[in-house]
This record gives sequence, structure tokens and C-alpha cells, in this order.
Amino acid sequence: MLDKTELKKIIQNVPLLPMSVTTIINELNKEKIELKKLEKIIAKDPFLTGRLLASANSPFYGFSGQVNSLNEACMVLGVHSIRNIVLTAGIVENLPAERLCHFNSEEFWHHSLGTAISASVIAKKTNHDSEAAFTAGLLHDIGKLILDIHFNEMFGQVIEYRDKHNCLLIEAEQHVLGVTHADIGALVSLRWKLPKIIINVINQYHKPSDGEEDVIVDIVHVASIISRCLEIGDPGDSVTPMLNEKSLKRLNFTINNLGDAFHDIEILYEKSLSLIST
Amino acid sequence: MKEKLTITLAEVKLGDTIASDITDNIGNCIVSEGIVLDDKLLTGLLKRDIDNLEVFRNKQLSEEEKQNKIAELTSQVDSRFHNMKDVPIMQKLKKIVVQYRIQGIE
Repeated sequence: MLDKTELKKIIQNVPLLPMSVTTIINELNKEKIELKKLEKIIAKDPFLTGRLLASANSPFYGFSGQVNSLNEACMVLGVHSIRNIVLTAGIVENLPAERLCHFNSEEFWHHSLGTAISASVIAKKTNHDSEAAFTAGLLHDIGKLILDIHFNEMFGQVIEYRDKHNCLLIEAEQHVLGVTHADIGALVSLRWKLPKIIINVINQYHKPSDGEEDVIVDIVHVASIISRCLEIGDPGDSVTPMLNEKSLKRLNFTINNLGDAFHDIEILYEKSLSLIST
Repeated sequence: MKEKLTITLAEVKLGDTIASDITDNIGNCIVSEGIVLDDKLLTGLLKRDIDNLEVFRNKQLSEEEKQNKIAELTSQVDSRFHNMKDVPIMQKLKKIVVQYRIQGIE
């Protein structure tokens, strides 16, 4: 079991988000956003510029191969998507694949993308914010990567427990560590000053009815289960978590609606793979 | 069921999914992996000097292969829901998942 002091110490050792990401997010948080100034800041970071260009050219945004400059990319993507892509890129940079011991980074991000796409499809079908749902879906499980990188040895014991009991990863974490990836993901997200909506999702998506009612939490809860049902990527275990009926009700969604959404999700997922390619 | 094929441009069918990035002769990506080929894209590709490309295409299975696949996937889905045998909503979800995935095989 992890004691509170040890937990606090490890969390404080998780690096902050890159300075360029923080600067861009601060700029995007201003009431009046100056696009020219924003472009100048982004242009100083070749990695982020590349991510934005690649995203703008992905089939997901419908402009495959037609966006040639950062200026065009910013126009195509818009402020919401720029914020989401920059934030996600910064987080991916902070949780590098080569430092993972138990997770396969590619499979992990495939599950996350599957959840993001599912969340975006459900949000559109239920008239909610699909951009917010997409980003929250993409980042919902980052606590698992933080555990793998920063709590490495103890996470090995979690994996052993999961394999022995064929249970959910979160159950194994609770048993071995006394905390879960949801708790740790939320603590680090607070340190990274992520938007409240994302912190809520990371912390609550496993048990939406226990938290304050938040529609994006409900959406990501359902989306994560869909991504598992469609076997997109690897969420870290091979058991399906309990679907919360209250979440479905709050979304005015039925089990049959889920089945109807499967095809749309798979098509959109195939079109979106370039969003997570390196 | 999709299989990965390396084919010439003449063999490409609408609905094939690009399996790896298509680049021009100086290495610039002109079509990214994951894109589903439609009329417009195919017309664009035909104007370029492209030899082979990799695509994902639905595989035609024999009746026996189909039955084996269905049995395999049913057992896979069963194992993913093994802890939810007495939960009606999860059993309903399992049924929908199996039905959807069998459609994919057929």
C-alpha cells in the first residue's frame, strides 16, 4: 500500500507540462485571442507545429493533404481543437513510450482514441460538446501511464494481481496500492492545471453516479466501455466494467442506441488513426 | 474481417482502407494510413505515378471459416463479460456486441 507522504512525493516528481504548452494554453485562455500572436508562439515549437499540421491534414477534419501552413492549420482547426491538440501533445511528451514497462504505448493510445471517438459520436448524438468529450476521452486513462512510469515497481505487483484474479486493473490497483489510476491521474492533472472538465472525467469516469453529475463524465464512461466492446487497443485488462444505467438514462441513450453507434465509431476511428501517429 | 493486401493501383477497389501512408517520389505523404478510398481520392491517385500500395480489404471467408470465427469471437466476448453473468444490462450489451461482430464476419 502507498502511504500519503510517499504518494505526495512521487506526484511532485512528475514533470510539469512543457513551457511552450503552458504558454499556448495561457494565450488561448485570454478573453481576446490574437491569432497572429498565437501562431508566432506555436511556430517556436516545431513539435507542436508538426502535430497541428498533421491533425489539420488528417481525414478527421476533412482536409486531407490540403493544409500546408501553420496559419491554414489554425484556421481549419479553430481555437477549441488547437487547445485540445496542444494539451494532448504536451501530455504525450511528458509520458514517453520508452519509459513504459507494462503498457504498450501504441495499444494504450489506440484504446484512448477509440474512447475519444466514441465519446465524440455519443456527444453529437445527444447534443453535447463533442470537442470536450473527444479530449476527455483521449486523456481519460492517463493515470495508467503515470502509474507505469512513476510507480513502476508497485505497478508490477498490480499487474501480477490482475493476472492472478482476472479482474479489472482498477480493482487490482485498489487492492495493491490503496489508490487507483483515477486518483493519481486526477492529482497529476491538477498539478498540470488541466481543465476541470478533464480532471472530473479522469477521476470519475469509472463510477459516474458517485461523483457530481457531469454529462461529459457519463459520456466518457459509456465511451470507454464501447472502445472495449469493439476491442480497440488495450485498456490494460480484458474484463468489461459495469455499465452504469444512470449514465445511459441521463444521456437519454439506450443499449440499442449503443449498438447503432458501433459502425459510425469504427469508421471514424479508422479515419482518425493519424491523430495519434508519431 | 479485414486482410492487408499489397496491390497495384489498378487493383484498388472503392471502400478499401489505406494501410500505410502513400508518399510522392520525394517522400511527402499524400494520403495517410486509415483513409477510406472514395471516387475523388482514387481519381487523384490515378493522376500520380504510384506503383504499389497497401490496403485493408474485407476478406471473403468460406462457410466453415465463418462458423469457426463466430465460435471464436463468441468465446472471446463471453470471457470479457465473465464477471457479469447475473447482470441483465451487461448480458444485453454482450448480445449486441456479439451480433454486431458477427455482422462484420458475414
